[in-house]
Amino acid sequence: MVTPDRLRALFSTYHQPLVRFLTRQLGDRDWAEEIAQETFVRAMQQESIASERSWLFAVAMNLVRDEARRDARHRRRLELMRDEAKAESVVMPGPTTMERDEERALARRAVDALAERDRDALLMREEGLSYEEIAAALDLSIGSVGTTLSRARRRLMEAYESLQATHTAEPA
Amino acid sequence: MTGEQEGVHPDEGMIHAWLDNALDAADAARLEAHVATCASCAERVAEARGLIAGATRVVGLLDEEPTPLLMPAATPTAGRDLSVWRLLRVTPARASIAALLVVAVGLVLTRSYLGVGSGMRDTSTMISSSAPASSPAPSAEALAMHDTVLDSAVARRLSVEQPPRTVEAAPGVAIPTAPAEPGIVPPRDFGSAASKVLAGRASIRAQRETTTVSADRTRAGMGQLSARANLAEVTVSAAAIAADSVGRAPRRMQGKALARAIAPRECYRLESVAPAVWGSDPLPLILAMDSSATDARVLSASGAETEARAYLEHNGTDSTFFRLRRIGFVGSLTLAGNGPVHAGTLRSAAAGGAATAPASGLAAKGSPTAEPVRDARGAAALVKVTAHKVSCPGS
Repeated sequence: MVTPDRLRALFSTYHQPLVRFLTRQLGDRDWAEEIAQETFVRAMQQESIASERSWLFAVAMNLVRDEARRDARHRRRLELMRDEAKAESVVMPGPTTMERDEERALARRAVDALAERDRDALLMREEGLSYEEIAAALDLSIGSVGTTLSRARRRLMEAYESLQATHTAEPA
Repeated sequence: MTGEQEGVHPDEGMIHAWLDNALDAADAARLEAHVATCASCAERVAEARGLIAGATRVVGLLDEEPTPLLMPAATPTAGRDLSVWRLLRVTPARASIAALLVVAVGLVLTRSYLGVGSGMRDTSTMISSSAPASSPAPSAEALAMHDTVLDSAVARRLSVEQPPRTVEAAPGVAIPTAPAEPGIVPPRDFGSAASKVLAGRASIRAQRETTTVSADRTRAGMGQLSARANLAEVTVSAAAIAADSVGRAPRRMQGKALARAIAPRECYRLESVAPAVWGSDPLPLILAMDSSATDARVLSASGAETEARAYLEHNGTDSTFFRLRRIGFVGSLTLAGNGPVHAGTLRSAAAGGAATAPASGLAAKGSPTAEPVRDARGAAALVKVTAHKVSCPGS
């Protein structure tokens, strides 16, 4: 069993990055908190954990996958948010708060458009996981992490910018 | 790119691994040596840096809390501390209605208290009756109508003991200022409303972020850069890009310094190897930053104004992101590195969706003949660009 002291240390080190990672994955902070909590419960039940960070991220990701991942409820909420933001936006020279909301909704859609593995790798990298840790969590060879990340980044930017182009073209 | 010796060129994954500091020393040295001599690879490195910075920015956008829909967009500086007034949904209109109600109720109560409720007096006499001390010389008519009050001992005492008051501005009303955020360096240049907005956002964001998040996401709109050598028309070489890449600290290890890649009032000349347009304006173009380094005028190579502007949306320690502001077009510019030379990528499209980035031949300004170029997935193609710091036209 992982000792309570060790668990406490794990929690204080990894809870926040894990919740942010999950929130970025799911678009829902409460849901992310729930899954993070469940992840630490699982950690508690382990005899020992070799590579802690990649273990935690991998387990969290599997928990996400176990649940109905693309919950219709969340999708709908995001769509509503986006439409609402668009309806209230006005033409301003600088980015307004509403513009930020629109960008966030676009970013959400662009991230959602990525292949699962690409998204996982990218979000893990953004949390500072090393190539070795990402390889361990995703069961990839270290050599292919760079390829996965480069593909994820390119596709993310392409998706984001083409969404932005379409979005701007639509009448506000 | 060039097609020659494709086998020895590092692939994109390798370049990303290098920029992510994930290659071992031997591979890194080999790649670095290759990039120093291969112009096309240097371009790909620049593009990869743009993609890395861009992806970090887009992922970072997911973290911001959505704006409550009841809040108008006009209060972007509001932080987390929601005011009581907002929580109570007090608007100026509602506040004035409430104030009117209070006055009306007050008048009614005063009238009934004075026992003259059925009178037809106008409001001004009502007020003077309820505040005798402030009207030392009431009219005869008013005096006659107020005798029930004035005859009372209380009223007499009031008029004797309290001298007529004059109304002045309250001396030095202290408007409380927001407490400084812990650990946040106070913004230096509040030259414009925009910089205040950005500073507010930066402090909220900085508060939310932990040390694992790259410091270059804090977006204070003020420059804190030391003056840089003003190198006009430096031609970027592959070696310069490579040297810049090697000297670059890992993104996550940088502290929360407020250093910015681009400072206020700097000008950058934007060039591409292939002919290209940004919006409808052909490169080379000059970006002239304003006094807060948030907005840039887009000038032609000769320094003439164009109809385009660029908004500096992200000004990090080693990457910057501009958004093109030009009616009828969308576009962006991502630059990596800091110092006098930046390399990056640019793209733009007509707002209808047609890409305009690379032009076939040197397109004249606003030329409709700019051939839309799209890559296989239909997105506007990226154009590699370099930005050299130049002296601003007319300065």
